[in-house]
Amino acid sequence: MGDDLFMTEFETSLVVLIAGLVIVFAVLFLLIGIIKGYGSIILAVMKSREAKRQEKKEKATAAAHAAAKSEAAPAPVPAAPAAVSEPAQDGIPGDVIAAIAAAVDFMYGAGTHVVTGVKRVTPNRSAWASAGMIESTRPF
Amino acid sequence: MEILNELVNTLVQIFTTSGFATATWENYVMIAVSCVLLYLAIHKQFEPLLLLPIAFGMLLVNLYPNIMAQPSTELQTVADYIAEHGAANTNYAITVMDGVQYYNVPTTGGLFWYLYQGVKLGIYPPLIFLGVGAMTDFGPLIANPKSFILGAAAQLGIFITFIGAILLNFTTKQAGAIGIIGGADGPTAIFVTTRLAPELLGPIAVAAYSYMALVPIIQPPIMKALTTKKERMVVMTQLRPVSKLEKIIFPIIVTVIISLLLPDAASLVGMLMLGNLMKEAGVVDRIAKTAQNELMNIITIFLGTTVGATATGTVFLTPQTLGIVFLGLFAFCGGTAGGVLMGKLMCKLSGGKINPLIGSAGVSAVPMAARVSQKVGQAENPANFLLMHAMGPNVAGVIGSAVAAGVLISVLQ
Repeated sequence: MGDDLFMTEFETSLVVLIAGLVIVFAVLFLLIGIIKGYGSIILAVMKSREAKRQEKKEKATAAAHAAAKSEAAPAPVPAAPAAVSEPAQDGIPGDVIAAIAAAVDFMYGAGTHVVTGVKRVTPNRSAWASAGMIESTRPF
Repeated sequence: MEILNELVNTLVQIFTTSGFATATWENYVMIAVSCVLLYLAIHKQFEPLLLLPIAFGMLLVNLYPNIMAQPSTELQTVADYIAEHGAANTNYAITVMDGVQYYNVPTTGGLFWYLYQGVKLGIYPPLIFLGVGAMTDFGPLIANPKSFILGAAAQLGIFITFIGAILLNFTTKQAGAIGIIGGADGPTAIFVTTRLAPELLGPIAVAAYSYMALVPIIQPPIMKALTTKKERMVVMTQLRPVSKLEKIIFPIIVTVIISLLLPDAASLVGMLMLGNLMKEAGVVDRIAKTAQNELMNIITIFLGTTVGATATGTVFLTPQTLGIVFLGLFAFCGGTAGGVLMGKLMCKLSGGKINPLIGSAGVSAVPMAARVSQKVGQAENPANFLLMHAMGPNVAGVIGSAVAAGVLISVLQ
């Protein structure tokens, strides 16, 4: 009787071993498939978006060059080097102005704008106070 | 003279109720064990965040067992009670014995008994998973989903130990709860044990958390024994960057899939993924920070001390508990070996592009197991950085052990 019970339990344990491993592997393989699937979809979408953005940028650059040529006047583009050539503006060192102009260039695309000046703005509150305010007023 | 007698009586009474008179040899053995664990936590710094509260809980309960005492009721004659406290506000139930009326006066339990209810009712494990999720970066796993295979292979120890426990005459439910120690995931072990074999909760929890803390000691010999020097020196290529959108979608998809397939794992995996979604979404930073820090730390303190407090000498030093501790170690070693062997197989199949050492990180113990892979790999090749590669199987192991837990609960319950 005791042996029968032991054999039943042993059989159950073999079933648990096989079923357990099969299910764990099956579920995780399913997750691998899904992650790979949506990963490749997202990558493809992002690549096509990037390509479109690049295309737009190139078009804008070409248009700016064409406009500059038609006016037949020396264009002030690119702005960043012009700003760098200034020794200082509003007490701001030239390299800081160059960095700001480069950041603007990066954000809006090269050749689409002209940086005519950089002005120092006095903040109403300190950086720490601003960080604190943002942290405690951000909604749930 | 009478004052002197009173004084002596008082001193004798204090001594007879003190630990010196009530503690047994088992308590002293467990006090020694707790001191060794405290040494490992403080001096050797083996996962002190886990080991220190566990060891101190163990120390405290063996010095003062009533700290885990559950609340009860005490019978006190109505006359005595009124003489001591007055008749006002006495609405206790009355029991009559031999014509004498007794109040059923409730007594409060020990501090740890109340804190332990979070373990007993399975509340802490999902909350710990919430914090773990909020701290985990699933990027390496998303970048290399094959890591899931290592996470699955490292669950081998769970199922093999299940058979071992049956052979040692544990019931099937008890065997399932013991086997889950091999997942090297304390919260999952507690969660499964509360459902399958609550009577073994103390020893299993202590074994699971102790082995998690001792990962740096247990794993390296197995890793070295199963791999060649050449395999340990394999340098893996850098993982691709993962977009924010992929990271946001991941917890939602995993929750949906696992909750539909294995509802018993839903509370663990669901909380893990909720924490991760809070982190990755970037719109609930305050909640994510709370889950990562305050909540996680509070639950760790409660869980650690109360799990340690289940290890009283009389309960712990029994053949059954020692059997559980031994089987737990076997399960843990089996899981490590399963992960490393699968890593070797993947190394062969990939033409030597995968370092098999990352397989050992497939046991959950995050991030200790991944750190061990990094350390053992760097010992062979100082220019090798396996940490991020090992984090993939490591977090896959968390999901894998939760899935294994779901399987055990649904099959055995």
